[in-house]
Amino acid sequence: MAGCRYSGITVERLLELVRSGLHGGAPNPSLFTEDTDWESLYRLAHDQTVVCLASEGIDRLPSSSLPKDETRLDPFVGDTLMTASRNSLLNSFIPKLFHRLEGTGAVLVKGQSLAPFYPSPMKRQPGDIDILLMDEGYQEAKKLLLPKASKVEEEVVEILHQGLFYGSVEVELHGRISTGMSRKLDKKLLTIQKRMFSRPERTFVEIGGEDIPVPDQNFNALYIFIHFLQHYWSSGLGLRQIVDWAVFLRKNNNLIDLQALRSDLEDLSLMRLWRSFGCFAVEYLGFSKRDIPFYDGRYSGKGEKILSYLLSVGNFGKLEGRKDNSDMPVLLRKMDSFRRKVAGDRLRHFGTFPGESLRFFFGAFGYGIKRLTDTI
Amino acid sequence: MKIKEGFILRTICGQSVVSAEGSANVNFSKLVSLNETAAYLFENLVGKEFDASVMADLLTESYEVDRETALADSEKLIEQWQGAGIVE
Repeated sequence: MAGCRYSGITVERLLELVRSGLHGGAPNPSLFTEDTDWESLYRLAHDQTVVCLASEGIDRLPSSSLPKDETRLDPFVGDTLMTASRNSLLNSFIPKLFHRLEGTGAVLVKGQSLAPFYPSPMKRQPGDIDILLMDEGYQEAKKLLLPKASKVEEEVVEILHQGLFYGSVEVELHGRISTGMSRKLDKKLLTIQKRMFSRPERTFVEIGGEDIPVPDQNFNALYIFIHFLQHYWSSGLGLRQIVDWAVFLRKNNNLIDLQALRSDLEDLSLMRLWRSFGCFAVEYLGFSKRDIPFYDGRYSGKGEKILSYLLSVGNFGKLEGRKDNSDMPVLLRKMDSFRRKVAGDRLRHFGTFPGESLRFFFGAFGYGIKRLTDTI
Repeated sequence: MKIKEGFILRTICGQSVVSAEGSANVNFSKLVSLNETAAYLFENLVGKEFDASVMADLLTESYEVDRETALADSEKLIEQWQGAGIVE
């Protein structure tokens, strides 16, 4: 596979283990022969942040398919234990955080809010805690949280983004969904965000034994999708983010107002991308066609290219070794980011999604020019 | 003695591993990998007071082993578990 540092059989083995972790059932044991390169398999699973799903698949292999030297599986065992431990910490922290945020209208998004939809919630590899708010709630949340934080990052005022730490736990407050892909798209997303916050009904997931507020299912289906699209078109995407979306859809499919979701996707001109990634989830990750709303097999031709990209960049682009430009002077840094985002990231998928690539190229161009002129 | 609260037995990748639940980071020096017999004993002793004699009873109930050998094996296992800090 072009740009991939792993052999085809290693990729095939990982996908087989992940499918087993997601849907149950034993992986095909004939794929796991004596010459299985368990070290490469672990590295690939790690790059894609799906080690624990893979270890569930390994659990279901017959002992004859496991390595004779069981220490070769230690990295899988270690990561799985650390993941459970980290999830346990985050799950006990989140209820306390939301007690403090009472009255701000905060909802938990992405990451930990999606773990309950995994077959084994403690095996979703966690990251930070993301919280979405509207304007006043965002300002109020800052007032409530900042004084007790152990470290506070510089706020990105134009998109209402504030990162802060409580020891090893990173919390991100988001006041806007900012994709950086197109100003028109972000403007429409703000309308959808306002609509979600104005609804009187509340949706919850149980975390740490308490009901934690999350967005309604329609908003979430769209938001999770747009979040990974954003990574697909900029910093890099791993399998886990597509898995997050698909497991959410599988569990919430019957709670989504499909007509409203269709209308939003069409209004945002994202239906073709939705269907293409839907086909990927079905063909490569083993989800059922019924799990993915608007599944349409005519969009299945993009899977190989999508997979090839995921394998070459890894989760958040960790395999690309991007040069850190944070020590550059502000103007040069902005120009460097502008060049990378506009010329590199937006056009790399031209062969897979030509129309969308051009759209996001010009979208990013508009964003970049605005940021440059703001800096000057 | 009894197994300390918070220690959990998990099967991961076909291996039975005991580790402390709820800590921020896994202390790998405190990880205990158990064979099938030790995992059986752990599962049956969680939340109970026990000594080598109770362990030996469990072994003779489920495995074809004489009482003397079972008792000697139990004492060795308790020593290992004490060393790993999973019993109190």
